[in-house]
Amino acid sequence: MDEQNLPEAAEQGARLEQVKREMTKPPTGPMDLPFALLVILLNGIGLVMMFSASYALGEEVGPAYYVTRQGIYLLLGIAVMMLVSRFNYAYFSVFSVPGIVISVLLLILVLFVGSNEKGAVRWINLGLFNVQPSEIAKIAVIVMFATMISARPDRFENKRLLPTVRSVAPFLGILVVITGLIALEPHFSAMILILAVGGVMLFMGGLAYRWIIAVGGLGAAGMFVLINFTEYASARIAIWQDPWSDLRGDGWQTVQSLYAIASGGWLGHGLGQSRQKFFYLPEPHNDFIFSVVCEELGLFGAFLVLFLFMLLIVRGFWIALHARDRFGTLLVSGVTTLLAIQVFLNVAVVTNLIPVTGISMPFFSYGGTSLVIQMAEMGIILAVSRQIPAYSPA
Amino acid sequence: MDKKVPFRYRYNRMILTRVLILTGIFGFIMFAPLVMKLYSISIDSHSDLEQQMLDQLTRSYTITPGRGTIYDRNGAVLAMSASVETVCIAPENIKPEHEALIADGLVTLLGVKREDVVEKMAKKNRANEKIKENVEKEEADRVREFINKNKLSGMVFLEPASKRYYPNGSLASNILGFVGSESSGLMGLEAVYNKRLSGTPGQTVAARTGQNVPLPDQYEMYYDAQEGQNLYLTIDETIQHFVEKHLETAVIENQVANRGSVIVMNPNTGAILAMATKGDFDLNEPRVIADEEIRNALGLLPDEEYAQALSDAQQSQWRNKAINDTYEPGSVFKVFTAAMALEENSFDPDTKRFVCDGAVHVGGFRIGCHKAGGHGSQTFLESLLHSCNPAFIAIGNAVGPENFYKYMQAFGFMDATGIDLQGEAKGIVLPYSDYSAQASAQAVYSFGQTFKVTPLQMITALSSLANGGYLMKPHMLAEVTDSEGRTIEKTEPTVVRQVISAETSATMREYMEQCVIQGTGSNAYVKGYRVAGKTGTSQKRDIPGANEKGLYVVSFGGYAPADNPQIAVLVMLDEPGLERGQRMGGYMAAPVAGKIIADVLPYLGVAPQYTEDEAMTVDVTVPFVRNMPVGDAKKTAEQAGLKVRVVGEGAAVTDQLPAAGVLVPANTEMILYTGGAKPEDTVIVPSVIGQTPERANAILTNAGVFMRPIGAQASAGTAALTAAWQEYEGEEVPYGTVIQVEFRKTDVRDG
Repeated sequence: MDEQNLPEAAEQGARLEQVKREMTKPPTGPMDLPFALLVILLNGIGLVMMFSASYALGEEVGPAYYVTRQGIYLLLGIAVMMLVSRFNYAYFSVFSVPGIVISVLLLILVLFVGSNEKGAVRWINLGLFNVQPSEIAKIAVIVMFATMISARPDRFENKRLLPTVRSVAPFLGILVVITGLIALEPHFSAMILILAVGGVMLFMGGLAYRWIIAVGGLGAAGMFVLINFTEYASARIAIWQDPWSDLRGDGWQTVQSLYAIASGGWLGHGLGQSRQKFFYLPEPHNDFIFSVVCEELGLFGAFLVLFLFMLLIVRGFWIALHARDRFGTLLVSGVTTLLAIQVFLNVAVVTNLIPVTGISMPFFSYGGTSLVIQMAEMGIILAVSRQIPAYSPA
Repeated sequence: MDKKVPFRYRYNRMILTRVLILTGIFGFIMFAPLVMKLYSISIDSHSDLEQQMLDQLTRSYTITPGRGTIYDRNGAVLAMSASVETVCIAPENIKPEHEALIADGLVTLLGVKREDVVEKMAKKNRANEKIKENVEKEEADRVREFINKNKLSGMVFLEPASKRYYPNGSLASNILGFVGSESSGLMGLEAVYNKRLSGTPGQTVAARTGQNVPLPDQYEMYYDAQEGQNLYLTIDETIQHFVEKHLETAVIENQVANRGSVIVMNPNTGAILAMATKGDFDLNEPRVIADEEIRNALGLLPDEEYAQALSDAQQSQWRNKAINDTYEPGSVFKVFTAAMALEENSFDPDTKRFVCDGAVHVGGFRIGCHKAGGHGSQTFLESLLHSCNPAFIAIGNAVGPENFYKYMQAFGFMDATGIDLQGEAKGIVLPYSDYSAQASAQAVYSFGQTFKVTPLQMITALSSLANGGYLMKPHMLAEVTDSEGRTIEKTEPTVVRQVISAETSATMREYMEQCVIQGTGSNAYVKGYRVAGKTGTSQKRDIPGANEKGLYVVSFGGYAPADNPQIAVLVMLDEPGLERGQRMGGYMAAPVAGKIIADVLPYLGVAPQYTEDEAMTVDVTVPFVRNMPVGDAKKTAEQAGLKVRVVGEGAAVTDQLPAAGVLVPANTEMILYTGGAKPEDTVIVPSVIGQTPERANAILTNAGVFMRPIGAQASAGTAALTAAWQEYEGEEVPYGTVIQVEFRKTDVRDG
């Protein structure tokens, strides 16, 4: 033990020196072009589909209303992504504690001032735009966990119970506070996302497999109880199993989504030709935009979009693997995982693979602030990618 | 071993492994269920779900074509459809917060029952529930305003529909029939020609958005509706009016218990000009019992009997007695027995004599003549004029049973005529084997007893006697036009067969005219027209106890003018009341035919041709002579065919009676007032019922009113006329009013 701590202490000191050095100089390398292009490409496709999906909704505001707004936010988002990518990501650790504090404050605030939509309080109106505190909480948790873990990379070295409990406790504490607050909104999908991303961060931090399995098992058990013993959840399960049982009620959106996907077939009806977007699909430009993609572009189009996401995710993990340091690895892993889970949950919901929960499709769904936040997250990944050391065969 | 490796390396290896694990999970494995699920929806369930989607997306609307109009032969509307609307709700689109508003609105606007609306609104899976049908435009406009004001489109809506109107109410109700709620003909011509009238429904299939507005410029298909065709009937609205008026009067006057029927036919073509049954019903309310007495009686029935009784009463008022029911033709049939004998040359009609001593015995039965002592020896024509049963048994015998039966068939008494109406009955005649086995069968058939025919069969057969011997196929439909008014089809007269020769027909016309001139049909006489016809009175033998109850059918069949028949008329009154002496076809049915002919022939433009006797009493129009010098006035009046009496000493006529323009019999005494004032008094019209024409005229003239006789006229060899009906009996009328008095012969026994 002592033997091992010595070089580590030295290493820590050296690393601190390096950080101090690097904070003063801007990142030099080029950003990861494949990743950036994938983000732009997906956004481009997303915007076109958003236009098509929202076309019918513009009865009073004009068919281009939604796409214009989204386009402006996309330009803003790209700018934010490029800007964030210019920063030396090592600085981001300074946001760790303030990020969590601000998130918690906003999550409390939203319960009092948030706008109530369909029985949930998720949005704070900031005048010009609305913001979801849970969106901020997601990235705050990633930065916080990455900072905490990279500050003491060996904190999960001791795999015995008590030391593990001790080292995991702060993480769990943060997760419990944040998801607890989100549960009050309530916002089930955000809870799942944060818990899953938190888990992945601990996994990347080196938490032993056995504890990962134990915590995962515990979470699964909790989920099981939640599903089976709360009325709200079990009603959702019933609809999930047979959405036709309440066609005119809670099953409506699922059935309409299935109709849209099925009617697309292999090749779809062609861009702009969706019929389900005409007031059959609720929010065709938002959570159910992927159904419109399926209806208009068919299974091929849907697979293409998923394939692009797949490339983006794989490339994201590639960047995580090649990151210059652990902080970068952790940041990129967290953000990539967050993106992946969102894609999964969204597609799983619209295909009725899992019960309905409100979750948007990254880069596709309508929503300005969340798009800008997502682009900022992509910017973080690109910032990390700029500092990948040049490959040396030596 | 692990612990020997420096942490840094172990850490890097851990990162490598774990990033690869995450890549595997989130970059690959995660996509597998999504891809599989997408595939299963898009490809495996494609057709099933797409079909469901299309069902949801497309709405199909039926376009109900307008129902054709029914016109009479001159284009007067008998039945037409007018646009109305149906108020509907779409419960599936009604949100709970709108329910009360909609229910209140519809109850107030339409007067429907609130619980009905609420009940229909509760059927949440329904897209279309009818709230009220046959809503007229004004009411519909108010509903539209309600929908717009409260933004309820998609929840409450109006559908176009049509409603059948019968502008003449009960006119020709038994032949026109009526329609059911779906504009489908239920009875009569509406049912017979339902396919032509109703057309072919069209359809629109349109894609709709979730808010039930059409999807922009796509997915619409139309299948044109074929508008209903219009019918032009052979019926003449005016003639039908005449017929119904006189029939109704007769049914009431004669206390007819089992309804009566009249058919007027063009004997040369078989076109039905009028066909009526009384009591009938109002076509606009076919389910309401028109007969007040029956309706009131129904109301007193207990609930469990009511429904059945109502249904029975409806069925019987809807029944077209003229074709659906049969009756015993009685003595009217004798003209056919006579025609058979003439056609078969069974004997020399001018020399052959028939002796009647009051009764004959046939096959062990005694068959009596209606004249107790018998008619004695009589010629063929006299036998017909006397309507003598024993003579006709002999005539029938001369024809021979086989021939007789053959002719009955040829005259169409065994078969339905094939008229374009529903449920036509055919004659009830013994099968030949039974007929030939019974010795008495032909004997009683010879004078029209113990078998039954429909009024339509009878008038069709009578027409063949009138028109030169041709049995025509009777028909109601003259022409069919499409919705644009183009003629699609025209009915041409159809000859079924020639039954008798033109010569026989001509002879029968003469004989039957004599029946009216001097026989039992004299009450069918019409001044100026040569009417031919035969009366019939028969017991209803097929009803148990009919004889004791005195149940009879009286009828008259004839045509006019006798030399060139333009119309054939059959009058049949089933179970008339009144005492025995008047319960005869000649007394009850013949005058009805006479009045109809008197109205119809002038209407058809057949000019009257007066005999010398008739010319003496022909109606003249009173000229306008006021302010004329007395001399001129006198001359004018006399030129018009009136006698003149001058009252007063003035030089000019100050007033006149009767007033100008009034129709009075020729040679009526006109009163010219000169200087002296015309009496302004009113008079009470005395009753002249039962009086002879001379006596009646005297009574009325004494009372200060003029008499205008109608009906039968005195003729040689028959008993005196008596007044059977008069205008204004016992009423107060102005001095000098012209009073119509109908005279009938009472001595018209026809057996």
